[in-house]
Amino acid sequence: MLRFILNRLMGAVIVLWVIVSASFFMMRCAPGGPFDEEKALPPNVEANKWTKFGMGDEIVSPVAGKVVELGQITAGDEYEEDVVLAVVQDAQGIKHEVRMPSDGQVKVFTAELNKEIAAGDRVAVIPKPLWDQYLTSLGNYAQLDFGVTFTSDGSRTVMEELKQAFPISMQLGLFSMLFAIIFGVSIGLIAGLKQNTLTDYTLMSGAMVGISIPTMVSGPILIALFVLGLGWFPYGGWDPPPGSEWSAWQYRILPVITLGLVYTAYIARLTRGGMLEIIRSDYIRTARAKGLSERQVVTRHALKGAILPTVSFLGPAMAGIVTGSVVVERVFGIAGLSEYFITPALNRDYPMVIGVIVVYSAILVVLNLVVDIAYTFLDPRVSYDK
Amino acid sequence: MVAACERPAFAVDSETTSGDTNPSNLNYPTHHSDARADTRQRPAGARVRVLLMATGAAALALTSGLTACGGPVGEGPPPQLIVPSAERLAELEEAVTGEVSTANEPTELGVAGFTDDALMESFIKECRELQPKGELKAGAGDRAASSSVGRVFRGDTLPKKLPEVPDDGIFRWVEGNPEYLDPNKISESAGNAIASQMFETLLILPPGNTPVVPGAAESYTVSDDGLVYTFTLREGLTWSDGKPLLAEDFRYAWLRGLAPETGSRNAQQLWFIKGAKAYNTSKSKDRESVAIRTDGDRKLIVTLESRTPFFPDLVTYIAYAPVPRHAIEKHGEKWALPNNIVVNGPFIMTEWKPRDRLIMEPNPKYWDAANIKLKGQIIYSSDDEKRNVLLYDTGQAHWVSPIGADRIREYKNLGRSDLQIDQIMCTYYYVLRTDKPPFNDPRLRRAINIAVDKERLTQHVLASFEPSTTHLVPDMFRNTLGYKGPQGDPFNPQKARQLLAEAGYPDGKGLPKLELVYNTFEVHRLVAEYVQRNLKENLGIELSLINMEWKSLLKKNHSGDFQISRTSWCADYPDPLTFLAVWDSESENNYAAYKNPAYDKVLDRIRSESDRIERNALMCAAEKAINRDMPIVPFYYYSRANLVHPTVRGFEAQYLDHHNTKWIHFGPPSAGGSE
Repeated sequence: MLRFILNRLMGAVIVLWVIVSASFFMMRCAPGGPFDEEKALPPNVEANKWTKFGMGDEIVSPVAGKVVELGQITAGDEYEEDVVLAVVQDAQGIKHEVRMPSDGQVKVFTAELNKEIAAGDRVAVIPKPLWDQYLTSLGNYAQLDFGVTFTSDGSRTVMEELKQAFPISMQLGLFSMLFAIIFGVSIGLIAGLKQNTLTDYTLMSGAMVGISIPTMVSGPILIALFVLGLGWFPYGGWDPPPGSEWSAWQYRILPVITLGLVYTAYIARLTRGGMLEIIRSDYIRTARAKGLSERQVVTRHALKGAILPTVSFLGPAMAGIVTGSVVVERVFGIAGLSEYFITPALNRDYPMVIGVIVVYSAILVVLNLVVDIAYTFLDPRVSYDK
Repeated sequence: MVAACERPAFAVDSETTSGDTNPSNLNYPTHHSDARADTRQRPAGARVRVLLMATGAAALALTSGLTACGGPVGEGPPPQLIVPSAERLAELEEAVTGEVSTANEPTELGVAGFTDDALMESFIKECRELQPKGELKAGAGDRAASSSVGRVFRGDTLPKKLPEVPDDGIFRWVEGNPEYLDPNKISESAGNAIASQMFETLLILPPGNTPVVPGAAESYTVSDDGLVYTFTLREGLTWSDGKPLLAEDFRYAWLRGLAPETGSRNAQQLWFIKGAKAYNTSKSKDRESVAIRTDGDRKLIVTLESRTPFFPDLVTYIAYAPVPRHAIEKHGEKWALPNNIVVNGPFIMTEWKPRDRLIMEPNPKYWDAANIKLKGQIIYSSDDEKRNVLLYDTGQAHWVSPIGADRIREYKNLGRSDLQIDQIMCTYYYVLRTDKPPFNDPRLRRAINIAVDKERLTQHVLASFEPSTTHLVPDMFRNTLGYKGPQGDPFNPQKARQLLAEAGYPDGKGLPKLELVYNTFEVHRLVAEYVQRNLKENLGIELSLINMEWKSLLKKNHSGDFQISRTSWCADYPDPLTFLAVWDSESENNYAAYKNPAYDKVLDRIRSESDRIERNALMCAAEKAINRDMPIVPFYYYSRANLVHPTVRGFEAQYLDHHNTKWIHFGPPSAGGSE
């Protein structure tokens, strides 16, 4: 068992590495950069940002002196190695050429003709080589240091953002899952035990409807019914704002139901199917034959087998809940991870994007592992120790 | 549309202090142009174009002796039947003849080049004739009269069933998520809207489109040449932690904003100060070269680069707010977070959950704390239209914006008084790349411009309240500065076909494939498809549409790698110059590559002109040159729709869309809203 878990964890690390690397390079291939705005920053200010966030290298003048010649350089264009950026004449009248250290783009060009500069003053800024950035970043990611977000101009770290948003999404997901399991399993059991009765038909029709309605529809319907119509619950957010007369659970119940509803329906159908199969099997007949009451038969023997399909469904369901919560959070105005799903990518906020991707992938990998382990407890035939 | 509802001329007077006139409002939420900000301008509902300020005109009529013209046309509240006075009729006549005559006669094209010096001189002459003479009148500092200036719509029916908002003196509203609240860094409108409740500038905005009033400064003087401003701070000002607030704090803040290490996005608003640009762009490393001096603890003396009649307005911007040196030195990057933050304005932040909500309390150390009626504020972070409407409907917010088009249409038809639509200083347009074929031919640029029916676009396609336009500069400067701009060429498909043929592409034949790039957004798509259809139907031109996300479009715009590109401009300061200066040869936002020395010369003259009317004439000539050279195809001006709970007082139209909550208080529900 331990070996199995270790193996899976090793696999998880590789999966995460592949995802992070792919995202890293894809983000950087997207046109435009994190500091582009409609109103361009002055070159020197933009240069400061590139270096501040560790993505740019400065090309500096080797000597103090006056810039007497400028290369034909346009910021943003690609140049070959050894292209002359500027010529600096020192106090002795000796001219020093400042050249491109390698092929690549000139991000920012700050040299100006006839300007006196000191040794070590910046002439241009070029992006750090991608591999260099990648290796540094990967080292930091390994220590769970995703850096600071660009959009906050370095005033907040990615971890701070995630620490605030992640627990909310996690709670929403877990409560919804709990809701789905409790109601789904109960409904499935009842329907399975009363096969082909009115109860069965009613419950299963309900489940079918539940499966068919996506959260982006059921959410607004629930809001219209219970918030605007009946006024039973408040709208908006996860924590009540100060001065609110509603309690936290009243705020949370509708989003939880909305997200849980679809899975309740799935689980009910799976449990019913499992129940029907198990209840006819030999060992149940044996249990009945030895004189156990029907209740004991169901709870002691049938239940375990009946929920096995449900458990194997939980892995994919978790993935659905995690991503599905994005929609529910938007509908109910909950400040969870959904806020970070799209915007950072549009803003080219590289660190934030990587942070969110790692969190989501890690959740999925871990949840799947948990499901695999849960299997061994429920089904004696499943063993990972061979 | 009936030309009758010409907006009352010169709605606002500058009764302000000394020196140059610059009435009106100010602080602008800097750049609305990123993708998020764009959502807030999603054109509103309403199929009928409501002429501006139906109610405003009425209110003004009382003070100005003019008589208002009709109300909204079509659905909505019934038109007011008021007979125009002889004076008003004469003015309308003048307005109509003046504008229509220029509008119907497109200026002759002449050579393929841009407007030259000689032509510019003749424009200036024409414009001198066009500018209204005499002093700005009406509304002068009268809040009741000026408060509805700039209002596009406000119903007069108090809804029977109102959302129940807790009656605890706390003002609840929504705003986008601010990324940071350090006044020296803020660039987005959300940060601006929130930080300006906490940091008070020397002069501040009163409610409505009225002239600035003293804030942290009790008074100021201007030198005769208009270059030196001397501000005197109020006595005994303190920060919220009790430390005294001195003139030096302002100097420190402005220099901090300009320092290249700060990496400020709004530093360019400080470039009007002498030496500021050089320091900000590292041309000079000497802080002392920036012309900000202090004289004692209470006097701040600023020398400007050139005459800047709108400097009092600029001073209300968040970039000009003071920052607490002691707190910054103690907490570094984290100083503008709850518990660390030290402010000088009416409110202080006590809790901030990014992307969720922000809570403010009154600052007891504020000099005018006795007059602050609010007990606090809750600001929800939301720019989602559906969510905003739900927050309003469930009584969790007093004021929400943006709101969806369906809600706007519904409330507008009901004439509900909790819907307020206000004009803001932004223009939506397409840029044509003038330096390469095929758009290096002015005839083609002009043909495209007049082949699109813009009025139909705003009224029927977008079904919005945005007024369509034929020219660049939004028309509210008539109210604030007495500026009268020229009209652009009206929709004229015959003329367009003729121009196209003259350019060598009869019926679009031989024209290379045309491409329009725009960023992904519903409204942009609607406009693009409408333009595509117009060009096809009216000119036989095939236009291919390429949508991309915002940063990719920015890259295209900056590199000039496009033929037609969608963009827009919002005023950086309340003056037509902000729109005209975009087309300066040196301007980084001149995506059209419109490089015209004659135009640059006029801009320089505008910058140094001291006479208000002559300055207006020069700006009008510059706009005429844009109308002739057509580096852009203007479509409409923006407006902003708000839902405002009828218990709220002190919430007025603001051209710069900046609302100072210092003035907000509550009263019994009323259809009037303001007092």
